[in-house]
Amino acid sequence: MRNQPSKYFRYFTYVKPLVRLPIVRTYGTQIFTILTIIIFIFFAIKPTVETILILQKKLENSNQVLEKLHKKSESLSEGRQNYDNLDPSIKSKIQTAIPDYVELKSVVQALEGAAKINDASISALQIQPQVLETKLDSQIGILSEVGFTFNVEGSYPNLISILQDLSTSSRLISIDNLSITKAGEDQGLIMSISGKAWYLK
Amino acid sequence: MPAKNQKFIVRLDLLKPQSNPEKLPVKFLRWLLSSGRFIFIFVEALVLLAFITRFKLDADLANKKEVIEQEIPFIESLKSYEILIRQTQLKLSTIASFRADSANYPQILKNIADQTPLGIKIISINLKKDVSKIIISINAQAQSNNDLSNFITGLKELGLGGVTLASVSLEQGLIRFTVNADATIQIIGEKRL
Repeated sequence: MRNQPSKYFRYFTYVKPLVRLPIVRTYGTQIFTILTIIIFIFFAIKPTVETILILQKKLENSNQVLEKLHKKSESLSEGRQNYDNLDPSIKSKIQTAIPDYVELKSVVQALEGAAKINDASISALQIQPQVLETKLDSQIGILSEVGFTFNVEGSYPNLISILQDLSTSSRLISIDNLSITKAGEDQGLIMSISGKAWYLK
Repeated sequence: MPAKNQKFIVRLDLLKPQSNPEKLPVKFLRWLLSSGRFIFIFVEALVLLAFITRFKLDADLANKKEVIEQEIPFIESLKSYEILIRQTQLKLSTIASFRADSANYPQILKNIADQTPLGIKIISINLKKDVSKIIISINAQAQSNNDLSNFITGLKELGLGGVTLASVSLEQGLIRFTVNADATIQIIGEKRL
């Protein structure tokens, strides 16, 4: 067993002179107070305050989410009411103008019908190839286009009537390019239309 | 001079044993019981306050989550309607923009035909839609320079922009030419065309 002086050798050599220093004796208490405050700030107050701030942020986010949910449920209820109040004929017109599927039949019918009514003969009708995919009812459809080229032969007034009919057809048809040329001597005019119709993919 | 002497007052505690200074643990104990206790009390109070606040915030957060969870099934039950409404809105906006941007081709052709002089024979006419503009290309033949000049002037009077004579050639006594022009859909729709 070590004797007493040897046991406290380090204390008497290193700590005791330090404690006896006038500056330590004068300001020791103040320095210790500051050190204690710093330790408390870092190890007790700071983590708690941080946690409170995080909780406050979470609460704020939850409030925003709740507010948006309320708004959404209100909008949905209102939208549902408006949709239910919509005239069935208007719904049908919207559905026909832009159907939920490609429905090439209605595009062809619109073009063919316009030519037939106006005594014009169709020389070509080409529909751009389409990739048909299974549509999921749980997803909102994407607006897609079905392009076509339509050549029709007839007199000038008839061709103008065809254009008017197409612009008012039940299926929404947009004309991107239109050219009219003379077929030949003593013949009618050839009108070539490049256009597109829309549908929800 | 009593006021002057006061500045040099020396405070001496003769009862305190100067030869036997206080030990460190005693000093520490003294500090704990004096200024240290205020720090501890303050920190404890602060920590307690923080914990109370934290419990309150936790409770509020749990309440909010509960309300949110109650709201979700109602919104999910309206999902099919949401899809229907969104699709209808998309269709309506597409129809509206189509109606706003669509060019009145019959009216364009009619106006061009109306101002075409008798001496001009249009061989072909091409109308191409380009964003909010219609690019017009007319291939025709004229019997005289005057007819050609009148035709181009007439196109300009229609409000068409960029009217340019792209090509001119003389074939069998007739002037064959190509005129390019463009017009914004608004001008065509609202003004003259």
